[in-house]
Amino acid sequence: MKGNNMASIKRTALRLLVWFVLLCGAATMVLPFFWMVSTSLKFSNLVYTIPPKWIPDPLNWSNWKNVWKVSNLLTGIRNSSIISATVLVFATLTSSMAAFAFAKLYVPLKKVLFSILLSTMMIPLVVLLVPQFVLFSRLKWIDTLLPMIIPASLCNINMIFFLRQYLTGLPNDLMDAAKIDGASYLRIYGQIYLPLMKTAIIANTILLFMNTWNDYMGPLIFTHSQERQTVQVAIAMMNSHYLQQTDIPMVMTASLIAVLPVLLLFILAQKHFVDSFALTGIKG
Amino acid sequence: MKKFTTFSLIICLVLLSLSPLSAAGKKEAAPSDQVKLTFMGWGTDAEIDTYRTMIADFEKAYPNVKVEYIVVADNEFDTKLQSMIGAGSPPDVFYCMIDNFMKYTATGNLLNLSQFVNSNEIFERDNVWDQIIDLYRYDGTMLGKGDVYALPKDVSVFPIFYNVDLFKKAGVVPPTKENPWDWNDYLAAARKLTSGSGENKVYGSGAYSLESAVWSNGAEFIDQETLSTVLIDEPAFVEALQWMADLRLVHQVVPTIAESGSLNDYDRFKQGKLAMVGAGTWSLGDFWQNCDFTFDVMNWPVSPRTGKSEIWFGSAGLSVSSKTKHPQEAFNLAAYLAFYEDSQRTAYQKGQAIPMLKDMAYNEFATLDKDPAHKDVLFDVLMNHTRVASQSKTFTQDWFAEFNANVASVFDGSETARSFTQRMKPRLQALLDESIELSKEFSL
Amino acid sequence: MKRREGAAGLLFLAPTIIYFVVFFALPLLISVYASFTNWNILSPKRSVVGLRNYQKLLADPKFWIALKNTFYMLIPIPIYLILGLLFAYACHKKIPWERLFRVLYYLPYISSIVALTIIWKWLFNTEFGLVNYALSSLGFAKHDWLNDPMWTKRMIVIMISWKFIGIISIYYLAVLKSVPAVYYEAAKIDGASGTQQFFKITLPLITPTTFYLAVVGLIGSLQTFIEVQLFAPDGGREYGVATIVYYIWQKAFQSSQMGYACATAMLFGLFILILTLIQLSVSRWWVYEGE
Repeated sequence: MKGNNMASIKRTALRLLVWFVLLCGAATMVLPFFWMVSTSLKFSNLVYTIPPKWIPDPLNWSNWKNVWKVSNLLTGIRNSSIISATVLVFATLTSSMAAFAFAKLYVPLKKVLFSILLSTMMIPLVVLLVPQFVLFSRLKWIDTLLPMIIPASLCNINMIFFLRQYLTGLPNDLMDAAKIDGASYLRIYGQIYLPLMKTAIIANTILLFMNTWNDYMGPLIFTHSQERQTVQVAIAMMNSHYLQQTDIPMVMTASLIAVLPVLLLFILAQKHFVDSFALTGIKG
Repeated sequence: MKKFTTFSLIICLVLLSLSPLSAAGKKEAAPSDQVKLTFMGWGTDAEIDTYRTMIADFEKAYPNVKVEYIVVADNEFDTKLQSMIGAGSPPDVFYCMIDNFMKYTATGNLLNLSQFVNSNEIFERDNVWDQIIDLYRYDGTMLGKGDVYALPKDVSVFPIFYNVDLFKKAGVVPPTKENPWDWNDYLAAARKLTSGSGENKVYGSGAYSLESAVWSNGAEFIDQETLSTVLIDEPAFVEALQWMADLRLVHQVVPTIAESGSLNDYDRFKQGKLAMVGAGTWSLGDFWQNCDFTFDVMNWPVSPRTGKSEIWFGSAGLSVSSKTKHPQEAFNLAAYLAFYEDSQRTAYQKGQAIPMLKDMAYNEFATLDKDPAHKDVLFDVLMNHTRVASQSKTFTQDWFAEFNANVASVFDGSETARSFTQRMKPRLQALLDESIELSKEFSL
Repeated sequence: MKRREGAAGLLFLAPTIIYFVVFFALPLLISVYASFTNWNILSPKRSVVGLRNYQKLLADPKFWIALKNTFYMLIPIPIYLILGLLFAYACHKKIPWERLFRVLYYLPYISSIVALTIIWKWLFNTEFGLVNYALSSLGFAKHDWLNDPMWTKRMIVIMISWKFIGIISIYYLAVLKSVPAVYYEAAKIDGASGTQQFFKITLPLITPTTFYLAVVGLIGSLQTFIEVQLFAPDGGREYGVATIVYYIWQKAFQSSQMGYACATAMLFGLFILILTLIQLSVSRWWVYEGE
């Protein structure tokens, strides 16, 4: 009896310790966020004070009203949404198809193709910038949303790589069984493996959305009119030419608004993680 | 085979569905006699608004011209401009920092504006200060002479702004044109103006302009005749650099590096906690709004060694691309934005710049009932004490950037000016040599 | 049969191949060619200069300093992999308020880098910053973090590690959940302890994910750029913060020497490729592949 109690006390103590450590970690994660919220409600000259003020006094709600007028935020959100939604749908499709091909199908020169694809991640994007700009110029895609949509929709290497790894870990028995039954590759892909990849796809989708939403360099170089700005560019524009005159509370307000869609998506998709998904069909 | 066709059908549908998106990107075709110009620049929200108003007025005055105004964040401006030039589609009119002016002109990207400048319908050549027109001249090798390749977007003077109330409280008498200060006077005044501690600390001076110290002392970063030899280890240069650093390190009349990092000198001045700061006339609007004390301007003190005082020019230009299809209209736009009376008036009224039109400057602006009281000091500095910085005259500015990236070790006391300059000279010289090589390789 | 499968495979890969040819291979070829020229974006004068760019860059001390700094940027990888895994494991083992924790840990990654930099600069602000405020209330001396050149690099590394913990844990969580419960049940029946289960079952099964994260992490970290630009726009004192991509960006867009920048990128890309190939071949020994 005593031995069991000791063991369970130790275990509870350990759990408490772990929980506490995680709490401290969480505090560091959320602290800057708090400051963002708090600063968005301050007046500009009260941003830097000692001691740091968490609850602004006086509260200044005007930024949340004015940010829509003063900056290009609404247009930015609109454009970023169009880009993100389109890329999300098509990139998931193309990436999962490609991952399926790499993991489960026979493809001539598969290893070579895959290695080449991997190699695309290794060239610093900075260098491709000007040749790509020239290419987009010839295609008349400059100052449209297409340079951000088309390439990303056709191929997302991160997603392909991860899904391929994931699929490689799944057994081939399902596919062999389906092939014997005479199913087409499309059906094998769509009806068997796609559902199995759901969790992995969702994890990647969140990341893809976030990367597209937070993309800065691309829209900056390939678009210039106000109507084509994305949300990050719109926020960066608020950093004034003369650094001293940046309206920090306004930038914080805009940044918070920009973070909300990603945050919401994550919270929503989290439920999908929590609902455990069915194990592979072989067991049943 | 059936699966193949269904599959390819799907692919086609996918691709087709993308075409509405490209339609989302197309712009309407302009009527054939209309001229369309693109104009690219940066700025604060206030500046952008001012420019939008000016563009609207321009389009009214020239109804066959439509202007597309592209605003870019200033730290990305160069990247974007170069991408566009590299792709062969530069904007028709664009901002050009004086530092970059040299390399854009030498490589043939800017349109020669001389013929337009001398006879145009927007401004009188004689009504504009020679210094600012000359700023953007280039004769194939040197800046400042030859044909005009850009118009000044504005001219900014960089005097010392001082807090009149603090001066009165400390019993400091400001200098006048007849009785200028020298470095010793400046230091003595700064000492008197530095007081208090902690929350109530008031500093006498902000960080001093290194260029002013160097040039006033008769020294140079690089030799001015050939622009090919680095001279930073000359005694006059070292003395100037050390004097400037000592203001902070020895005499403590300037905020420490840590303090400047927390609250920069400019903001400290606005809060009334710093008595003298170098600032540009582009800050007038900000000062009018945020300083609740009287302020005025003074010239940079002379060096006791030479009796001279010099400071640099702040300027950005409006240039026309040499590839533009509509040179006359593009020039008109640039000239309008630069010199049109209404825009000049708006600019000085908003405290963004002093007028470039002499009659407006001497009459309206001089009598404007706002600080600084001694606006004639501004004209004096502009006409007699400013010069173009050396790094604007070289093809690249890497040598200057190298100096600036590392000079903080003198400012925080970890190195003396003498050892720093001796150590850096060969590095700067190598970069300067590279600049000259590049210039030979790429200048037309 | 195999031909049909091959054709289907290629069809599945069609969008990827199109992307590769049009948006990557083509610009890349232009870049490769450019690396052998003196292409200056601004000037129409252009000529082939052979290996001159490569010689110059190997002789440039700044290149080597930047390379060293770039390796420094690999430090976050083990940090966030381990911490991310631990956090995912804790979540997997059901801690109270797990969902809230996960959202909180995700926050840094989703915030825009511009906002994060402003916040970070406030945190470490000498007079008004939270860090110094905390230090001084505990009796320690304040430190001038932002202007201390030694700390700029460390701050970037800390910020990157901190940013990625949450997102790494997502990957690990997804994979932890996919480990069939039967494995653990069987092990428990055999008398394995929690720790043994972790090391003998969990760890090997997540190696494919770790491998993926390590490869992607390496490639990404070696290309750190934006943080450098925001924290040390001039590259830092004595070029102490600049990474290779920063060096490339400087040469391309500040010095307009596009050909030289392309040469640097080619060389560096080759270097990353070799490192990745090494990682790929070593993976045989420690990564578990599905039956």
